Amino acid sequence: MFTQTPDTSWYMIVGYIVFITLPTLFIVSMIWRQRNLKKDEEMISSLLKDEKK
Amino acid sequence: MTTSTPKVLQTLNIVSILMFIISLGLIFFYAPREVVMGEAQRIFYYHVPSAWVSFLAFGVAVVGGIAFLRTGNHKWDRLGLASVEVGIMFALMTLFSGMLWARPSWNTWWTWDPRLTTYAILLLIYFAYLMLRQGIEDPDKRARFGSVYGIVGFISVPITYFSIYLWRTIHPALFGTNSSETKMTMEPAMLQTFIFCNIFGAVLYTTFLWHRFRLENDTAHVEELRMKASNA
Repeated sequence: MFTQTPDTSWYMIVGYIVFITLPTLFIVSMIWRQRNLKKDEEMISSLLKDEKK
Repeated sequence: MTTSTPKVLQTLNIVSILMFIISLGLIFFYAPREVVMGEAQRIFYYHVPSAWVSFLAFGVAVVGGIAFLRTGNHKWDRLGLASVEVGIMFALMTLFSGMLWARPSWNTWWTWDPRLTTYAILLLIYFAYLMLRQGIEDPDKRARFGSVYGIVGFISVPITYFSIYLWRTIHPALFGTNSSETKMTMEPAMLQTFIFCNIFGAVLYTTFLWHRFRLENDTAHVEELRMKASNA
């Protein structure tokens, strides 16, 4: 017996939004952490320089 | 801090982006629509690679853990941590996409099926790994704890993988089942797309792992500087 294919496009669209959003968030979090580390490094290095003086 | 991005990693970045674009092209324009499930079946092309890549990531954490316990080199522990974090990202992709696949197929977002339950437990185990690690101040203790936890926690991976063969389940199986209800069959175009997406999954994991590992090396460097400053 022939049955019509259901319209499940919505689930597919949301699925691919998930597939794109999660790695994007991961990349953004890595960039953000890298920036914070750079700031911390600069601050600690300047503190250490001041200590030496 | 780490120096400029190595050439191989730069190449991996470009290859990952290209493979991502090609994979989307194959999924939406080459692979045919599945008759029974409709468009939602296309979730499967990323869902399966995400799942096995998460297993691979937790496996790499075991290698890192064993290597750290044998050598005491903190680089291995950093590799384990980086891999667990990337693995969690892939596991979340698997879990959410699985729910979106389940709704039209099983008429429910979630069911306490052995595969789904064991996978959710696995994810919680690795979330706990990240949280418990953060609570340990001493870097040596933290690395030892992370290594042992990473090795013991991996027990959840084979349990999750074999759960569909050990218990009664409604989750489809790709390999090793004769049940017509759960076995999946694919048309050539679907199979080719599926194989490509699996290779893409492995490439993407390698790229993310490498970036996350470099970030962890930088974190260790800044932590060292902080210790120096506090002792000065």
